[in-house]
Amino acid sequence: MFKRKRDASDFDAEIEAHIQLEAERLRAEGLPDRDAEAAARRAFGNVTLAQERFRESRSARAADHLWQDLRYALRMLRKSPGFSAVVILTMALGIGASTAIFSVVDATLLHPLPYPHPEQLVSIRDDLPGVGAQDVGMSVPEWHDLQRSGIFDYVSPIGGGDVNLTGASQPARIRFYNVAPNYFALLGVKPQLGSPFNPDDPTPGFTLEGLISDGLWKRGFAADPHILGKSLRLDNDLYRIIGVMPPGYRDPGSTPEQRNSEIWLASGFAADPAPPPQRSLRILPEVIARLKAGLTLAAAQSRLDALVASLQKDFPKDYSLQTAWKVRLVPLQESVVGNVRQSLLLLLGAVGLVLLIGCVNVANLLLARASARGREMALRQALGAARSRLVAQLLTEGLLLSLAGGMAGLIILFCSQGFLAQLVPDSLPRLNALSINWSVLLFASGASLAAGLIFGLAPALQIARPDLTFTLNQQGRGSTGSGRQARTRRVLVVTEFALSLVLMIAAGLLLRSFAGLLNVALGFNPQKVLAMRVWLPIPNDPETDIYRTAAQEAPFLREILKYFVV
Amino acid sequence: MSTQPPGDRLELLQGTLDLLILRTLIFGSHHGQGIARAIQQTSGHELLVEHGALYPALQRLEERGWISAKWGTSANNRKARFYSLTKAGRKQLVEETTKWNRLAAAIARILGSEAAEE
Repeated sequence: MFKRKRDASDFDAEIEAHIQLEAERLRAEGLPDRDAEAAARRAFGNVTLAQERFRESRSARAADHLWQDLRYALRMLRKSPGFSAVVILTMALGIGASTAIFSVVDATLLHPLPYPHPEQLVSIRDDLPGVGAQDVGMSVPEWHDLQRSGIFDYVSPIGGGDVNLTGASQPARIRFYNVAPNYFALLGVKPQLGSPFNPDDPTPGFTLEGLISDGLWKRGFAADPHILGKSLRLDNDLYRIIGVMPPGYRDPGSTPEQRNSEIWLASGFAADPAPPPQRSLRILPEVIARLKAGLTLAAAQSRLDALVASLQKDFPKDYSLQTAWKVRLVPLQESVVGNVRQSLLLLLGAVGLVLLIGCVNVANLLLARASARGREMALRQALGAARSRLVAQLLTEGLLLSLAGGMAGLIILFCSQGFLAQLVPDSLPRLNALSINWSVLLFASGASLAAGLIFGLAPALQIARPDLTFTLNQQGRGSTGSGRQARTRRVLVVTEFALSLVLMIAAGLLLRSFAGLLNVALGFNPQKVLAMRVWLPIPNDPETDIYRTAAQEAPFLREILKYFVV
Repeated sequence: MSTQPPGDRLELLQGTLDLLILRTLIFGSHHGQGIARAIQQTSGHELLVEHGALYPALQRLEERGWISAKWGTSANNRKARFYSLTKAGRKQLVEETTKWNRLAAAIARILGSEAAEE
C-alpha cells in the first residue's frame, strides 16, 4: 500500500508532458505553433505554484521545510557573524538573567520546603480578634490539646535564641533551636550521624540531649566521627550530643536567625526554665504541625474550629468570650516565604523587562536587516514562493538566534552558579539549594522560544503585508526601506525607550530610598561610642544561676569594664 | 481553444474537483491533460478547470490510494502519466456521489421552494 515517495522531477516532467499534450491539441484545433505552446502554458497557470503545492502535499513536508529553513538560517548566521554575535549576546544576557532569578524563585517560592510531603506541613497561629491581637502565641495546655485532637500527626513548638557554648574547641555564642522531641519526626528529616530525638520522650523540661549542625561539628569538633555521646555545655548545663544534622539542613523559619541554628534542643516546655503550664500563659511563640495524611487544610480547619469552641466551653475562666479566641492554620510554605514573595516577583518582573528590552532591540536589528533583505523576499514571492514559507523561514531564523542565545545564557549561568549563590542575600528563605533543575531548564527554553517568536515576528509581519512592485522598485535602488518599515521601527524604539524608562525609574526610586535609609539622623554622635553586650549564662535551673540578681552580676561587670578604661 | 470565453465559465466549488476526477476515471485510465479535457467537454464547457490545480489534486488522490499512476505513451505517441481508479477509489466515488446528490437535492429543494413562493 505504501509506495515510494514520488520525486519532484517526476512531477515536473508530468507538467511538461501536459503542456506539450495541450499544445498539440491546440495546434490540432488550428492554432499556430508558437501561440499554441504559449496558450497551453497560460491555461496551466502558475507552474511554480503547482510544484510548490506538490511538495507541500508530501507527508514529510514539515520536517523537510524545517530542515531547509534551519540550514538556510544557519547560512545566514554564518554570513553575518557580527550581527549574530550581537544578537546572541543580547539574548544570552536577557535569558541568562531571567533564568538566574527564576532559579531563585523556583527554590524559594515554588519549592520552598525541602521536606517530604510539604503540603501537610502547617503553621498554627492563635488570634484574639476580639481584642484585635494576632499571632499571640500558644499556651502549653493548648499545645497538648492539639496533639490529642487527632487532626495532626505531630505538633511542635519552635523557638530559639542564643546560648553560650563551652566544651567545644573554643567557647562561642551560638544559635539554638528549641523544639519538641517530635520535631524531626514531624519534618521527616534524619541526621547524618546518630539519631533524632525520641518523639515520645515525656521529659517535661529540656531532655538534655542535642543535635548539632554540620557546621558546628566541623568547626567545633573537627568533624569527630566519635562525637555521639560526648557532652557540651550550654549556659553551664550539660547536654549529650545524640546526632549531627546533614550539611544542607535548614529549619523552616521565616528569618535568617531561625534558619541558621547550630544546635537543636528538645523540651516539654512544662518544667524549668518554663513556668508551670497554664492556659493563660501563651509562652510558645510559634507552633508547627503535620496534618494527618489525607486531611485537607479546610477540613482540618473546620475540625480545629470545633475543638476551639468546645475548649472555650470547658474553660470559660481562661477564654473570655470577649477575646474571641481563634486558631488559624497557615500552610507552612506560605508562612516561610510570605514576606519575600513580593520582592522576588518584583525582581523577576524587572529581569523580564530587561529580557523584553533585549527582544525589542533584536527585533529592531532584525527589521533593519529585513529591509536590506526586502528585495530577496519580494523576489522569492514574485517567483511564487508561498508567503507562509517566507514567514516560517524568518521565524526559524529568529528562533535559531534566540535558542542559541538561551543556550549561551545557560552556559554562562552554569559557570557562574557558585558566584550567584553568594549574591543571594541570607534574608531569603532559601531552604533548598539553588540548582539548575528541569523546571529551570524548561523556563529557559520557554523564555528563549517566546523571545524568538517575539522578535522573529517583527520582520515576518512585514512580509505578511507585502507590496511587491513597491519593494522591488524601491529596494532595487538600494534605498533604506519603506515608510511602513520605518514606522514599525519607530514604534519599536518608542517601546524600548518606554520599557527602559520604567526600569530606570524603579531603580532610581530604590536607590533613593536606600540613600534615605543611610542618612537617617540617629539623634546622637556615634563617633567614639562603643556598644558592648555581655551574655551571662542562664542555666535551666534557676537555683544554679550564679548571676540571678543585679547585685550578683555587678562584680563581673566591674571586672570587665576595668579593661576598657584607658 | 474552446467555444466559450473563460470568463463565462463556472468556477469549481471547493472539494468538487476530487469527485470529478474520480468520476472521469471510471471508464478507464487517463493522463492529466485528458482528464482536464474530459471534464470540460462532459460539462458542456461550463466548468473552468485550472490545469495547474489539477496536478496537486491528482497527487493528493494518489497518496490516499484512490487512484494509481504509471507512465505510458499517449495516443499521439507522447510520454504521459496515466491515472486509473483503484478499488478504494471506486468505493470513495460511490460515497462522494451519494453525498453530492443529497447536497445538490437539498440545495435545489431550498432554491426551488423559494422560486415557487415568488
